Amino acid sequence: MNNILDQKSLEQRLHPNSIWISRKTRILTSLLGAIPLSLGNRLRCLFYRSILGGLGEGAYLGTGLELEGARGIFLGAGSAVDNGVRLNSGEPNGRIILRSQALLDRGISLETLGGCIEIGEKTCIGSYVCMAGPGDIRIGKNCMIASHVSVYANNHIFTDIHTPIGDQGLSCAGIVIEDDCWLGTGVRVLDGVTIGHGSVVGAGAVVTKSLPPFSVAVGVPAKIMYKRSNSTPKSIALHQN
Amino acid sequence: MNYIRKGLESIVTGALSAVPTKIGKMVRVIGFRPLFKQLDSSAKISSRVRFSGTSRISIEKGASINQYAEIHSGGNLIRIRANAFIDLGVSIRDCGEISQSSGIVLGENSSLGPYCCLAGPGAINIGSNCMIASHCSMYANNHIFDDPARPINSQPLTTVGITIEDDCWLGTGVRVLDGVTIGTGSVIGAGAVVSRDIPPYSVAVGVPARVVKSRKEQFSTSLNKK
Repeated sequence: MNNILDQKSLEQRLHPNSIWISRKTRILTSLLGAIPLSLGNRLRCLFYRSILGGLGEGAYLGTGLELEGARGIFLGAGSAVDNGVRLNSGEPNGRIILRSQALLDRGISLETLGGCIEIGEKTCIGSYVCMAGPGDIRIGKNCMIASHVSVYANNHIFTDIHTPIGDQGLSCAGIVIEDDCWLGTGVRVLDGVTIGHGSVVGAGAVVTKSLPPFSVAVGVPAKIMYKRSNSTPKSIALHQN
Repeated sequence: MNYIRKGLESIVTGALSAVPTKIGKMVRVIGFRPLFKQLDSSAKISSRVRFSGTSRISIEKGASINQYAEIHSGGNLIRIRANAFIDLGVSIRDCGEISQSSGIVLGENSSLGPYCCLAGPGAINIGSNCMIASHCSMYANNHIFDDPARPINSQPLTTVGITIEDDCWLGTGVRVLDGVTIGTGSVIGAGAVVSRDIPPYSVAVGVPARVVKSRKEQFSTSLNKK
């Protein structure tokens, strides 16, 4: 099986930032970026393979795909990237890794700012989701992340009132969303949070603290309502009454 | 005459917005200059940005606008000040009555993150050095819905306006409602809904947003500790 992401092939493909690669990226995305339908997809897969860090078999690339630091972007077998997506790996150290069959819906913006954004197998990310580093963001397998979610692995430091906040630097601990999590629409995940596997976060929640596995959390800030277990699920219990 | 102007504006902005990369940016700055109220030569307008009412849009030195953004003026001035940054997919719409005090201003060095939505018709004034993260909404209007017998969309709007003073940081997904002033140096936590004024140097979080601490007190406490 062709594993595009084993350590050896990673090292072979990565090399220092090159002006020629970024020019080539701009030329290819300008020429091929707007071609619609399956013709566009085939042309993009054919030609973008030479600029991306890795492109697996059967990947789908939609129109309007904006690539920065393409050498640090790895798209696994069967992954799909819908229209209008922006992937900025922030070379030389940044990485965006989509494992096999991961799906990115339209308008998604992933900017690593030098960190790593990794999306696990069979995970679906909804429309207009924004994720940014520089902390690492790791999302596990089989996750479902609904539309308009924000995942920001950074916070501005603002202790000094005499200096503009933008000049005071960032803290960036990183964010981990473990396997089999479901984040509802409009959830905000802040830096330093780990969402344990099997958790469900209600729509609009703002997750400021880590959640243990199998939590169901809602609200601003997100508070755990109950823990998922093998006893009768609450949703079924409610319907029976 | 108006129709000709509008037609020309649509054709020119539409055609030139398709040209990608730096070549496109140069072509747009040259081609758009006669249509805009002001367009500095150092402005960077990415491809796929949509404009209307360009005679009331002013883009100053070093400002940059990323792809898929939309700036629509329906009557009042929209001013993007020096070195301001508008990220992917931002929507700025002013469709109000013409008024000298209305309009939308994005201050110097301020930035709007991806998919922010700003709408009038009330004035929206964003100060300098503000950082507004993704998915924020600022609506300088509220629907009046006092009369249950009439559809809400036929009842009037409030248009008091929104002011965000200098050096504010709004986290992702903040909603700012009409009539609100956010004081200088304030920090609004992600997901907050700001329905009341926030004093300067506050940190406010929650739905509705409540001030949880003052940056000034925190700062003087940290000085005293040294």
